[in-house]
Formats: sequence, structure tokens, C-alpha cells
Amino acid sequence: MAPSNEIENVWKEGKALEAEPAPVTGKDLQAIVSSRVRKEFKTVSEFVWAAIVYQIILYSFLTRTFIQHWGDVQIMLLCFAGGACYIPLTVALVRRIRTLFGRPSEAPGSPVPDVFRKVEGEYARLADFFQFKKRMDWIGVPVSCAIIVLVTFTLFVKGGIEGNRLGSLVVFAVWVGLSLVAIHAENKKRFISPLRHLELLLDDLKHS
Amino acid sequence: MSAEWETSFLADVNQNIRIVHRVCHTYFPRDAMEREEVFQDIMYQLWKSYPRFKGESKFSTWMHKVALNTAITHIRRSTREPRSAELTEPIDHAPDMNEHMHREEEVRQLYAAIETLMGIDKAIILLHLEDQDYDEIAAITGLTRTNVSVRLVRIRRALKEYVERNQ
Repeated sequence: MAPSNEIENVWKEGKALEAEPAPVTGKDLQAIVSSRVRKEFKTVSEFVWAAIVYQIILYSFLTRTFIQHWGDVQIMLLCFAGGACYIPLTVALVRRIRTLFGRPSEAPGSPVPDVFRKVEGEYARLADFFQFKKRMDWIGVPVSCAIIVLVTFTLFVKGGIEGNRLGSLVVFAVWVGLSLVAIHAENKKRFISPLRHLELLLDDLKHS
Repeated sequence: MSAEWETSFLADVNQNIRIVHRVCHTYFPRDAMEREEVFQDIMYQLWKSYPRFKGESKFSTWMHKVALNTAITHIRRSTREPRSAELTEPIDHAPDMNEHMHREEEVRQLYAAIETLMGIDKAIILLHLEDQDYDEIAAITGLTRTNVSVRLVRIRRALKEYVERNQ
């Protein structure tokens, strides 16, 4: 490269060599918009389904057991208490998911954020949801595992919880352990790695 | 989307379409499929944000801001789903830069040097080379004017060193 303004000169040289890009037509735009809308919807629905499907299984299990053992007050109370414990967690989860995938900067008249604000906003939203998810996991995983173990042992294991204290504890511990392994992998992929990447970007923007 | 709105949007965007291609090429020089995906993402973001463009800045400045925001966000997302295969297939809308870069070693080296920069430094040098002044670069990136100028000195030095090392 030549010594003065070399970078700018080479860049201009490159620009001169470029072929004229094809213009975007109305048809291209329609295709792009349709495919992006589908993609956005898919991303959101995948996440929502993954988060809620476990709870659907839990509610279905409790409801079925409740109906099947209509008249058995102990079982009915157990199912009712389990559902009552979990409903606030489901409501909180749905609210947080809506916040995570909402677009506060897209209110009419709001300006497009600069790169720093954009990264900062995205980091804040993701970190906030991750914080909530960690709290929810700490409460939700033991609660749901306990409900399933309690109901299963009461209904299907001879002697119930009382007669199988050690067995039920082992099943509970294994279930919690497996859930924690799965949650750790999910957190790493969906939250820890992206947050670390955003942190690096923010550090780079803050400390030059 | 009304026909009038769409015509106006397409006219503004097509006048500055090279901005989108340059951002895609600077951030994703090796993967044609990813470049096409980011191109579409940027077009979608432009389409969504267009009603909020009030002409307070130049259209090209606004377009740079949207394009860079989208490209940087895409890098973050692609760390979640890394692509293993390196693809070099040309994309429909992009100018065939690769062919020219092969012919022009200096240009190729400059792109290779820019590729080694961090995300935000890529944005700064790209904006500088696209004739955006320090105030515009500061407005797009959210950095201060001084910060931009200090970084540019450092970036230019890094690019020069890279080129000298690889000559």
C-alpha cells in the first residue's frame, strides 16, 4: 500500500471494481418480509413451547389424577396443592417471555438506537430474563419433581411415601439431578454464551 | 404495506443498497449463505424501521445504523448456532467482490485486515471509509467523538501492520 491515505485509496479502488448490485424489487421485499415474519414467529414459539410443554405435562398429569380419583380427598388435595403452587410460576414465566420478546424500542416515533444502546438493551433484557429463569428453576424444579414423586408414589407404589421414604427420596434426587443437568446445558447455550458475547461487546464499547 | 409507501421505501433503499452489501461483506466475508441471511435480516429491519425515519439524519446514516445493529446482533446469535461449513457461493444481490479481490491483491488484503478487527472496530473503519464524519460515526455507534478518533488511529495502525506482515 502507498504510505499516505493508503487505506482510503485501496478502499476506493475496491469500490470502483465492484459490480453494480441488483436493486431490490417489490417481489424480493415481499419474499424477505414473509420469510422473516415466519422465522421470528418460529423462534418465539420454539422457546415458548420448550418452556411451557413441561408445565402442560405437569398440569395434565395433575388434572387426570384429580378426576380419576374424584372422592379421594387426600389425592385431590395433593393435586390441587400441586397445581396451586405451580400456577404463579406459569403466569410469571409467560409475562417474562412476553417482555423478552417484546420490542420496546419500536414504539411509534422512537428513534433507532445506536449500536451501544442496542447492545446494552439486549444485554439488559437477556440478563433480566436469565435472572428470573434461574430463580424460577430453583423453585420450579424441586416443586414439580416433588409433586410428581408424591402423586406417583401415593397412587402407584405400595405403601406410598410413608412406606418408601428412602426410595421416594432417591427418585426425587435423581429427577432433580437430571433436570439440573438439562437446565445447565440449556442455560449455557441460550443464556451464558450469548451474555458473555454481549458483555465482551459492551466492554469493548465502554473501554476503548 | 401500501404501494406508495413501498415505492418510496424501495427507492430510498436501492439508492443506498451498497451500504447493506458492504456491511454484510465486512462482517461475513467468507460465508455466502450467512451473508444472504444477514442481507435479508437487514432488509427486514429497514422495512420495519422505515416508518420511524423522520429525516433528522441523512438516510445513509440511518441505514448504516440499522445495518450495523442487525449485523452485530446476528454475530451474537450465530455464536449460539455456529455454522461449520465455509461456503463461498455468491449471493443474488451482492456485487461479485470476491472476483475483483482476487484480481486486486491490495483490496483483498485490506478486506482480510478488516476481518481481523473486533466487531465495533469493523463498524468504525467501515463508516470512516464510507465517508461518514466523526460526529456521524459517534451517532451511529454510541461512542464519543474523541473515542472514535482515538480508535481510528489505533485501527489504521493495526490494519497497516497486518498488511505489512502479510506482504
